[in-house]
Amino acid sequence: MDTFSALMHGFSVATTIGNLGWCLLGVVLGTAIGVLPGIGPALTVALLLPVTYGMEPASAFIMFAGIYYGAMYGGSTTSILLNTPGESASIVTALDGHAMARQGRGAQALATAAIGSFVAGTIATAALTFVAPLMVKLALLFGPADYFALMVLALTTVTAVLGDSLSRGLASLLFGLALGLVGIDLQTGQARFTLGIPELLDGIDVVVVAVGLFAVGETLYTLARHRYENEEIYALKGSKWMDREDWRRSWRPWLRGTALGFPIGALPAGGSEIPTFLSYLTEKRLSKNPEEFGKGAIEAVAGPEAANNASAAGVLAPLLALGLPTSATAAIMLAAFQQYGIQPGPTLFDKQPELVWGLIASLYIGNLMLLVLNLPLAGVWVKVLAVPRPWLYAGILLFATMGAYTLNNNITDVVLLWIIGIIGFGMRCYDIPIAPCIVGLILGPLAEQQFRRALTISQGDATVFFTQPLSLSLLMIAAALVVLPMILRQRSKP
Amino acid sequence: MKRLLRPHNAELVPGVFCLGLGAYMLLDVWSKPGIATKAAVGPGLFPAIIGAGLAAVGAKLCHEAWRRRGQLEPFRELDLRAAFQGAIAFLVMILTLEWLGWVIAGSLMYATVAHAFGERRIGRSLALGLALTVVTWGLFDRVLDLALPVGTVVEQVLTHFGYEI
Repeated sequence: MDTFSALMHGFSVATTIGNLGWCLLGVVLGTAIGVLPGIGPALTVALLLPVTYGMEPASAFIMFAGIYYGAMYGGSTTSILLNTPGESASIVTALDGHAMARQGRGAQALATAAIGSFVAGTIATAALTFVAPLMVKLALLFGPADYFALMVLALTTVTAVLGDSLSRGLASLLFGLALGLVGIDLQTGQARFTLGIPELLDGIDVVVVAVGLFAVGETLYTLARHRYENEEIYALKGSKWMDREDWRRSWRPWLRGTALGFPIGALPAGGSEIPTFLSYLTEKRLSKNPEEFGKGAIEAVAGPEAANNASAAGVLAPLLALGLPTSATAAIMLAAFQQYGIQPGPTLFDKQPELVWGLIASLYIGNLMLLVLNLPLAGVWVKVLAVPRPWLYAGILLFATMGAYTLNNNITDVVLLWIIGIIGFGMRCYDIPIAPCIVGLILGPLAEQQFRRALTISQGDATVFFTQPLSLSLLMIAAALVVLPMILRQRSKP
Repeated sequence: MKRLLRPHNAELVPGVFCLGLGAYMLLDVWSKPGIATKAAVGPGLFPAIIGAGLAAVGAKLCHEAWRRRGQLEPFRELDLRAAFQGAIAFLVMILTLEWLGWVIAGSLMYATVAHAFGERRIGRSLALGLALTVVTWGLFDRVLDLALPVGTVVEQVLTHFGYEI
């Protein structure tokens, strides 16, 4: 089946009344929860995971696609109006977006973000449609050693690129990898680090870790900081629409942002932080008035928001085609697949074409729904922002508990949630990034599997990772990513 | 507690945590008997690598903290009492969840956490918590077919009055 007819088949799956309903529900829930301050897409997806337990896989993933894109839209509203980015990818949006909101141009900032996200999302979804099958072909060439090297590369970028301290990033990554080891070793049946607790034999669920670190940790941190923070929401006033000048200044950044976001997001080592920063820098360089940047330049909202959404679609390419998550959100999506006993990767396209193509088709539909929802309803989402903090965060804890308890219907998961929440609070206090931990937790076991498989094939010869051209070059890129910034930093020192 | 959290000591916490966890993992791997396996790599190698990595990063973090001691910017202001109240409220709910049930334990936690955030209208918080827990219970238990605990105490009371759960 060629790509186009596969996509058409996907649309026939996604446009049944039931699935359109799930998509709409996902989009609304995703936006509503994504708008809440301190909640980014990763947490939104993790919190809403239990809602999909009883559903058909295809419908569940169609809803997820809606939640994923919805949370991205919602997140930009929070960054613009409240200056509290829910995830690192919207930090850049917050810079100029919030400045625009302070000048009473919040509605225009929201509009350029929404339309830019739509443009970028649609183009990037189209690119995903054609890149993912190509990536599957590529993936078939990969042996275990190459897969392992690819995972090392992905883990390295998540760690080395985020945050400013490599040791803190590494600490987070290794902690995640350690959590991933808990449970029965599938190859030998040996229990590892279960502390004699039978519930731990199945391992620690990524949802518990994500919700613990993001929701519980974040709530406790907000509690500790609440007395010292002064939040101000800027109401939307005046014209809600972008004028001719706004359009003229926005459309090029949208396209450039998309061009940066998708390829970088689709790289097995991508993520969405780099393209948003790159887009910001590009727009600043190309702008006739770079001095406006940081003070409310519409280009600085349009470009990075487009880049952010395009990379969100890009991240799905390695996730679906290689089973390789490169962001915290993708890691949780992978967990959602595993919950249905589905392992994303090259075979997924053959075995579950309905699911994959239904999911991709619903991305197009969800994107359109979001545009329709977001432009006229911006005012409604602003009201969501105004929920008093005490009630909001107490509610987040309730939902977190619900998410953890309904995983296996036992208290152990909720106790774990509490412990991990305390650790998350500590990580927030010490500025230790959370994404490496989540990606490490989910990628660790997969990496170990490939590592052992590769060594079994080579009969214990560890040079196998360095003698095959593909795995060698991937490992060298990974090493360069760690070493180069260090050298550059050394040089810039007097 | 205050003295422990002075900047130069507090900075050591992540390092010591990683160092401790890494050491524990290495000890655990080392104390496990080797399993005879046909595979080239046993279940201990990966944990050993990660344990060693954690110990190394922990040592590095401690070293960094030690080198910068004295010249640190003051720790960001944190109202640890409020965070503590929230953490304890959450823990109490977890421990009483299967006993008091989702609705009661959840509402109590809700009101306590809201209080920690400075919300002084306890009656209102309780009412809101009650509304939220009842609605979510209904949604999860009846519509989505996921079980949230009713609570053994609540069950007894309800059966006493002739309700069947």
